[in-house]
Amino acid sequence: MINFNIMDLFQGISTMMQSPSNIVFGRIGLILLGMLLIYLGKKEILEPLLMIPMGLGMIAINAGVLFLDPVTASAVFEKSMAVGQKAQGTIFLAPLVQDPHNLMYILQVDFLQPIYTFTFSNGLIACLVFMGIGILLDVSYLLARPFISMFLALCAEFGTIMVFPIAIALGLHPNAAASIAMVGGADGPMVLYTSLILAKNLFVPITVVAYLYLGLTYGGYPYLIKLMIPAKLRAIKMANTGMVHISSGEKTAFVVIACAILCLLFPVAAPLFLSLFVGVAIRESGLKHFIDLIGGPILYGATFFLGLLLGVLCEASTILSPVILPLLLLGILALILSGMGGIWGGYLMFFFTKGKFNPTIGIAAVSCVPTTAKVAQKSVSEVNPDSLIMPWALGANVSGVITSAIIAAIYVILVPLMK
Amino acid sequence: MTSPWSFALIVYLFAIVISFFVAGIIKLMMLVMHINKKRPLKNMKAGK
Repeated sequence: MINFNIMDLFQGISTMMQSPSNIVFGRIGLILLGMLLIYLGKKEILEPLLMIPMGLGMIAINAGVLFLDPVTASAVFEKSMAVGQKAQGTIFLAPLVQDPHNLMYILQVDFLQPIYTFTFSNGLIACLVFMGIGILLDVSYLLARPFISMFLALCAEFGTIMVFPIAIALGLHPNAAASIAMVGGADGPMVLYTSLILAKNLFVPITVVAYLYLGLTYGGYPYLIKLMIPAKLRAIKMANTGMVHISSGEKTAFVVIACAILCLLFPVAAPLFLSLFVGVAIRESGLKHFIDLIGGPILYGATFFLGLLLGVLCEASTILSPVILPLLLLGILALILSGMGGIWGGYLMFFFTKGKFNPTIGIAAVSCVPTTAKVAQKSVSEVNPDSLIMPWALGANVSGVITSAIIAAIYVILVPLMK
Repeated sequence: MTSPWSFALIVYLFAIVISFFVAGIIKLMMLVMHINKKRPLKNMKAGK
């Protein structure tokens, strides 16, 4: 006769009953949050490409907690387990395993561990997404007006700069402060890359917070624009539509020079620069098969697994750390300050040009390509359907990617030297 | 110890200098390439 407790059959429920109350509420809360993300993704309020796999991953990981067998538990927690000791865990992945022997074992058990270990924890997935972004980027708008675009992009890094000292004042370590400040750059792969280098122990909550908030830029920034820019100024029609013909040769020359200079200046961010510029170079060279490969399967494959892994990393016991609340506050603060900085930059251009510049373009310098440019154009079109600011907005948008990468590189180099 | 505020200011100053340096390089490159583009046009106008 088999002697067993009925609850051993339903370990998802059983583990919940045996967990501390904060973990139970955390698991239930994250399951509900996962459902909300799927709903918002389905309604296209948040980015569905990321939110649907992320939400489902979040639900599955927090529902699917079980009692690990002693061998797996000792590999996951990297300590020997006492006989009869029950350890809770999942068979999705174990993000905190460091020891190579334990990692080899986990790679054969957890189905997402190979993707996490070989693409996520070394930043490869961020580089793959960056290659895809490079394929989508048209740098001609930046080449047409480099100084204005860079000026706006620097203004839109206000949050990235301001949040660093604020985070330290809230008690964060400088490495974690720099990583969360990068959310102000509104560039997911950049936050992932910076936090992997600077704050490996916190990169899971920081990256999750970053991607959650990046989804919010589409929904939140239009309100910031309406709050800060009156309809009369939003309706300003740019005198020159901004269409300038730049040949693919000029764009390729820019890619070669910019990649060489930036890699020379910041070897630590060279993988990101290479990934971005190789995408642009392939686009401008018209290599159709590579464009199809990188702009299709690689970009969408990387985005899918990024979303799924981010969801699966949101396990209550991993993500519920005491620093999560400051991270949530600092992440949203960084994005709001960057948006405000971009708009202030737009206002400065408005005054410099004696009222001929639409200040809404400023917010497009927040480098969430191409979301913020689309948000800016949409906000302008609502009040003046004849006003076309997209070419200017895309120039600022592309510059934003470059300035974010520059600031990420400066943080990665200087923060460890900070005494 | 460097205060976090002055550190942030240093980071921003570095970012400004490097970003405008990149913008300057772009402008210079565009000028050079446009000069090269215009040369044959000038020659055509001169009847050469």
